[in-house]
Amino acid sequence: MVNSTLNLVWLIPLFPLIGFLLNGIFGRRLGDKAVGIIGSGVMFFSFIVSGYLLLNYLGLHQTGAEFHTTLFNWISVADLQLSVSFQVDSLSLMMVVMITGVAFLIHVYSIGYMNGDEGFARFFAYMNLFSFMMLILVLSDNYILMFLGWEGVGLCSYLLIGFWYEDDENASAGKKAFIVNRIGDFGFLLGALLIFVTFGSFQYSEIFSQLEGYSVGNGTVTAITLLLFVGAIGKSAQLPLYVWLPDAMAGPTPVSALIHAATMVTAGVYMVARSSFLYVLAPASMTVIAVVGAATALFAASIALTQNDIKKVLAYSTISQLGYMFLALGVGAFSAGMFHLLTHAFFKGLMFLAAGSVMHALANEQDMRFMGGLRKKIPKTFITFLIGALAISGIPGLSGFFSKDELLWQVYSSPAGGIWLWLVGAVTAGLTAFYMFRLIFLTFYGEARWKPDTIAHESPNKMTLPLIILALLSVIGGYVGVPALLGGENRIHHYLEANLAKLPDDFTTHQSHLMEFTLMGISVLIAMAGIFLAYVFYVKRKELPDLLAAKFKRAYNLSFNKFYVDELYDYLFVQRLITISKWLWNIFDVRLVDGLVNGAGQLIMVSGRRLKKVQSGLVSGYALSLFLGSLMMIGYYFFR
Amino acid sequence: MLPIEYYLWFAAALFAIGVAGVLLRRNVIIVFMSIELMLNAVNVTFIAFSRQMNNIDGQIFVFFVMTLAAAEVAVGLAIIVAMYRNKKSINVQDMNLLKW
Amino acid sequence: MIDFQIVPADFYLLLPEMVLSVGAMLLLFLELFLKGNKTVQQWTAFAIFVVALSLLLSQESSGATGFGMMVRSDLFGQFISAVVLIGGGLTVLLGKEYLVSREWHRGEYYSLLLFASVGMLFMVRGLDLLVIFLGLELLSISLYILVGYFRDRLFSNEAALKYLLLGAFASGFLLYGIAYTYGSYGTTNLNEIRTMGSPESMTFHWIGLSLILVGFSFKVALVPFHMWLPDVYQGAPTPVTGFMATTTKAAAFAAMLRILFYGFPADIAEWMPLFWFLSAVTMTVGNVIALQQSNLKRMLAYSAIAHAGYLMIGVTVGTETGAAGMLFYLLGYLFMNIGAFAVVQYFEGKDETRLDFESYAGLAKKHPLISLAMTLFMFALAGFPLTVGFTGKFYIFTTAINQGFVWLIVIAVLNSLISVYYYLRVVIYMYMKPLEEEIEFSPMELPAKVALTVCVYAVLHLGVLPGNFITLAREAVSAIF
Repeated sequence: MVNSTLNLVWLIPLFPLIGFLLNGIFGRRLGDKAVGIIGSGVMFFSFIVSGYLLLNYLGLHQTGAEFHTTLFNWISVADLQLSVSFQVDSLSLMMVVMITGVAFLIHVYSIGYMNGDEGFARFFAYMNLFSFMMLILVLSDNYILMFLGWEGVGLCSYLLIGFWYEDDENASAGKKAFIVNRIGDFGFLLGALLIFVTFGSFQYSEIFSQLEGYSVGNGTVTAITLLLFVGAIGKSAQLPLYVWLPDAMAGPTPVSALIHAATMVTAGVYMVARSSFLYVLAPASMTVIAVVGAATALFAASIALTQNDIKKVLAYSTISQLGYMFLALGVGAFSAGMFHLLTHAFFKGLMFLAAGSVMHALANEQDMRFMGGLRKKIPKTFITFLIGALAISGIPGLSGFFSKDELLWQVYSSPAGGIWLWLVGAVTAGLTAFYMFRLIFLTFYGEARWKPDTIAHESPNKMTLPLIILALLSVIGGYVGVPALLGGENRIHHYLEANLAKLPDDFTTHQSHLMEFTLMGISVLIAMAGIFLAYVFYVKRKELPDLLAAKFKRAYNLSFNKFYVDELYDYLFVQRLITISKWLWNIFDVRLVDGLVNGAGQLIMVSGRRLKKVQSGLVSGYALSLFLGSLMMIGYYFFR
Repeated sequence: MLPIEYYLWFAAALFAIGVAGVLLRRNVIIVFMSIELMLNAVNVTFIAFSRQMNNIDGQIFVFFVMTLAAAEVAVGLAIIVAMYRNKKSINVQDMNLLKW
Repeated sequence: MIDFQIVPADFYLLLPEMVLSVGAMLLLFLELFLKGNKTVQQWTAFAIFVVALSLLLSQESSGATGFGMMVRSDLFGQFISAVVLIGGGLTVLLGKEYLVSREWHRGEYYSLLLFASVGMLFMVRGLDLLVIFLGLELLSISLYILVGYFRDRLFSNEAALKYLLLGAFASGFLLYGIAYTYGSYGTTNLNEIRTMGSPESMTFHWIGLSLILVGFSFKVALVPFHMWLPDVYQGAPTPVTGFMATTTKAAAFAAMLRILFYGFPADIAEWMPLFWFLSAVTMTVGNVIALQQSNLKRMLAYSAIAHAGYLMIGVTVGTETGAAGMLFYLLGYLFMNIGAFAVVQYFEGKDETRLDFESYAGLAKKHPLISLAMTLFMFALAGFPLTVGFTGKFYIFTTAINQGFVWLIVIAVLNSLISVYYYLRVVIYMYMKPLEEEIEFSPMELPAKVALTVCVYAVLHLGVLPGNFITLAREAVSAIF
């Protein structure tokens, strides 16, 4: 279909590209102010165009409409057609609006955050380039152009992680991100090539239109979907390829917010949702996705419990939330997964930026053990951070509540899901609430444990304004998806579902409202319990040493019992959990997964070191190799 | 007429000796001579086939091979001389600056 | 009474070769009079390449043969000959500055480049094993001298001597193979061999073909025939390395394709498993060792081996599309590799001490444009989208996977992903490490700038709009099937 307004879609990636070129080429001559204005201005224009297109698209009242715009033919020979063309539909428009909007806010924030940095212009150039690549990724209408964006965002992430390049740690973090992403790209590319062999095209619509001939459980489709999922695992930091994401926190905080929370890491989720028509034909792959997602969600959340680095907590939290999204995709709740992606972009982007603001206040301190008592000092940051934490914990009325609840309900009710997966999700929700408020309490409450000579101060408006806007979005962002149970229409579901596949039988109507309500109640209670426990252990227990002294004077006081319960809880629950969490982090994260990833790299390196010794520099050795080679050639004939 | 197999085996032996010389000898000049031996084995093969099939093409080929061998020797000796001037050695084992 | 007949069309067909040969001799002669005037020598050589190229492109590509089926003018030959001539022209543009700074500027440099190009043109346009062989030797002998061009430098000496000994050794195998092919068919003419179809003696045929393949595998450096390549590439003057890496590879692959696909079409299927193996081993060994290199020239040499492995996929597939993919990739490889060597030659400095990664640290700040160009070439070699490295590899890979070579492509994709590591390392050093020491480079001269710009443009053009050239490559290969 052709639509003259929606054909303007090429403007959306064009603006960041212009920004990249201007900042990249003239950056140093323009001065920081102009660079900042250009960098965020282009994102603003992009956002305006995206919003305009979205309104237009909504105004069409055609569910599931797809528009294709071809810019030019890339490769066009008899047996291979490849064009640079965009697809505008509900899925890509949602992503585009989210990306440009969040990116704009983060660009504005960066003007304040990067103020005075030597590589200011370079930073904005890379950020614009990243936005361009990300927009290409989501707008593409075929797998190869998507791969271009896929590689491009990976490259920019690599460049931005290593941004403060004097640091050795950053370089090695970049390296690890690199190796892991190679594995993911390997899967993606093979999957795309296998798609081409099977369907003779890379274009989504052409592929999906041929799917009628394939039965559920088809081997080729299963292989394709699994390979694509390997790509998603790498990009979206799922088990076992998540190791790069915590390390990537070495980069500047706006980068963490934009790339490692809101956009790039969700590319895997987007890709699976985009390929949903393939996935519904491969139940085995769906199961794999659901299990990997659930395991990652639980696993990463339990690691987040004991991290002391504020950004590391958020990083593991991101991994965990991405696991949630994959859990939803794996049970066939594609729209719920995308909905959570949207709200997560708001509140996780917000929390990263707020964490950046905290670090800004404390002279780049990242360790929460040296924070505390910041509530009064940086109130705007505190309030917005709190909103983000409430949202991610799933407190009713905030965006995270709607998306998480919708997600968990679908996990429970889907034939591909069930009570066990729901339970994992619910436990994770509790852990999430716990570690988030542990973070809040350690950072903002209690006494100040700052390093000497630190003067905490609120960040400038350039930084707090984006925080406030994102906080607003974290509150209201969920109202696009109020479920029918609560009197809403679940608009986003109806908006998205037309461009997504459905499982063979429609499961959402099978279950009773009572059940839905009960589960909603349970998950809210779990979240509350998590927050309460965090309060008990990280606010109340602060006074425990003093209380202890007082209480021993008044022996057998009733309140001693309470303390005893606390201790019991502590012993039975928290200490165990902390032990497990530390153990997981030590054994699994540091040794096994890191070891495997580094080991694969090492293996290649070592074999290279061995092999190159064969190249001895001696002519007779070279001649021998040639001679043996020719014997092999002739021998091939005789022993064929 | 001698059956062609005799020539072919003779040429193969010559070729093998040439190969062995390249692999085993250390003096660059002798390695070079061994390569010439291989080329001569090829020439014998060409002529044997040419005679067998009553076809003149093979013998013409031999002339070209001989010309080529002469050209190669000219260039080769020049390089060896240049090498000797700088290194004062014509042992192939000594040429191991470039490796790995 | 013998009827003497000389057909002018024959000579018309060989016009490019004649222009190049006469030009080469002319330059040797001019050396006597123009000793001081380096610019004239350079531009004369460049003009000769341009004239030869335009004569080549103006020829009809009808498949006409000349000199009693000794040479054939077809689009396939034209395509690769054009690659060779463009490569030669670029090398001429890049060479002067390099040689002048080392006080080694001689007219021989240009005339040897021209002679080598004549050899390559005969290799790709010859229809008789004799012509192909003579072309190969003309190329090789010119290259031996070019590699040993700095005759007072040990590195150059050693590289030349290694190349000479091993090259002559491999020629022995090739010739022996031609002799056996002659023995089994009674002719060395590919057209006659093709018409004959089946050989008189199957054993002779197989020995012959295997040994011919040994000869060409040596030239394109397939593992285990690759050992000479890193040493020679490292020791040779850098512009010569760039020239060898691109044009020689193109010509040798083209000759191999013509012999295999045109001369022995029935054999391709039989050879497939061996080619499969050679291709997989070559790309893996090349990439894995390249990871360990610290010298940029040597790293690019191993990368050249790895690329021979990728290109070999086209031979393994054995279809028209596979060969077309190779042709297109060879065209792209010309620009990305000559470009990369051009940057290396600029940065290495007069005493050639600045060849390791460390000396590239922080260069992006001082030389933003050249660093940007190098980044582009590295990305292209690594196969990033929007560069010719991606389109070329992509085309070869899809073709192969369409023919069912799934595992070979799995290996190839894995390899090209590994390779990103060492290509990107150059970029990392240039952009992300602090500048080690302040070094003043004399500004790049105009001809080198032009050459670099051409390379950058071509890498991007072929990456973004490859359509016409892929179509051209497809038409070209139909001439040899």
